[in-house]
Amino acid sequence: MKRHLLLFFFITAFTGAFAQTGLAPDQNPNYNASRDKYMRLADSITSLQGTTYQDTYRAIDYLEDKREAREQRRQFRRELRMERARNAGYYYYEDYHTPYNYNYYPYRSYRYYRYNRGWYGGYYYNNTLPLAATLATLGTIGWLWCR
Amino acid sequence: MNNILVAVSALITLSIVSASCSRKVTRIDPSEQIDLSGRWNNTDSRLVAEEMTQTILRDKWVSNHQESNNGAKPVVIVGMVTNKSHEHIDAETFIKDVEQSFIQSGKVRLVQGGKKREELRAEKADQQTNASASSMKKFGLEQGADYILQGSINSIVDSQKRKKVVYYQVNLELTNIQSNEVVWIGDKKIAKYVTN
Repeated sequence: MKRHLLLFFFITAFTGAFAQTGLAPDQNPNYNASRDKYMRLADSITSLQGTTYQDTYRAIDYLEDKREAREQRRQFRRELRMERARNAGYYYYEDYHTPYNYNYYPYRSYRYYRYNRGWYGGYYYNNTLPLAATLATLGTIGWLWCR
Repeated sequence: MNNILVAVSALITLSIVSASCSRKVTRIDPSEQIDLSGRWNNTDSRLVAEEMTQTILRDKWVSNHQESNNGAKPVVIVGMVTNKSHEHIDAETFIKDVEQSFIQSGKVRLVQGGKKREELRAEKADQQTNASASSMKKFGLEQGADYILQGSINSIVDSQKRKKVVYYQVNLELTNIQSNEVVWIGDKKIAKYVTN
């Protein structure tokens, strides 16, 4: 029995000493926890090596804001023109020449009125605006294409 | 009246199209400074590259490493650069110059990382079944890096009406992978005054 205990003690001591040799001097004995964690993450993290992670912010810039607002206005007007061109006739007629809306005409803003200059006094005499808008759009597309 | 309007519109359209199509392209010297918009451009990238390549190899971290490692050259891997500025900036334009300076100087060894390393391992894997036994490359014999090069790009924008001051700060850091000790920090500060 004594011999068995002695053998057990030696084996335990030897195994412990052997395990200790796996540690470098001053190495944290709990390094396994961290190693296991990052062994799982390594592939996804190292795949970004040599790349630039874009974490940009939006700066307060007066001119840039102005340019964006202008672009949004242009986009809105473009869509408005397209919508009006799609609903040509019906839209204007309903808007201006029904008895309910006719009296509102003088109070429209200049810009709104300007779009509808082709329509006057309930008489459609001119369809040059859609044509001019189409030409201008084509011109712009051509210009952008060639830029 | 209407016909005139149509004719004028058509004329304007044609003139715009024809004028914009007269494109002219000329080759310029990449080191020539041309600032158009005030945003980050090739000149900024070049200035950063020059500053970093000059300072990183002159610094004492190379000699310190060699002293403590029996004259062995340090091995560096390029990590990630974080762009925290207000513009899209790709750091590869100046990081490549730094890498090139490592190799050309012969003082520092460079190992591949990221997607390129993945590709290399994939090629190695392909060789295991397709290459001849004598030419097949083995797994587990890659050179481990001693240091990792990481960086960040920051900016400050101060604008008032049509005037703007943009300040960029590019930082590169070299860290010992074993000890996490930062052995070198390089920075380049660029300030621009833009008026419109």
